[in-house]
Amino acid sequence: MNSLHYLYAAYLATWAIHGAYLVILVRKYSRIRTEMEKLKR
Amino acid sequence: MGVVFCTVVLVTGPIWARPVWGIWWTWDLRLTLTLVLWLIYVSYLVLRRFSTSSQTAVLAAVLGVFGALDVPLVYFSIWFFRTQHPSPVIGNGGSLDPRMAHVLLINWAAFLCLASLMCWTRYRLEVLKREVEEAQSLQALMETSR
Repeated sequence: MNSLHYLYAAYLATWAIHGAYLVILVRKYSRIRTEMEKLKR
Repeated sequence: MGVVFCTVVLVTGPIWARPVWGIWWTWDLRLTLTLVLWLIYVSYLVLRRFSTSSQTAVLAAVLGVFGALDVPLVYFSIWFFRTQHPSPVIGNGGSLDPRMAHVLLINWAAFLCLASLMCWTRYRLEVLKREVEEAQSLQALMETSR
């Protein structure tokens, strides 16, 4: 395998892991927002 | 966040190691200590998430201390022991190409900003979560007192 492919794979993995964490944070945030809306009603 | 950054290290490390060392993984001291650190962080999260014991906070704090103690061990492992990793390439006598120093600094600054942003976001989320929990407890108390 070309060395550049390893580089692409490493970049892809880094972005994928950070992206997954971002999704988790956004989901947590939206869950809390929903709870807040329920409480306001 | 520790889990996120450790996962990045443990996933991308072998991807770098394969073309350079010819192997994906070796039980070298730095790699093993990083894996141990990741396991400590994951254990902490699992304990916090699923344990219902009254001792959870104490056990989690002990795990946190072990994790904090492991961090300098990971960093200094290549200073005091011969490992698969090269000796430090930054600083006096380091073999880092000066052109790469700029790249390294820019990346280091970018990751520091990213980590700070994530830390701040996570902190804000936790504050909001506690506020909601307090409001829910107050509401439940008011409903039972009616």
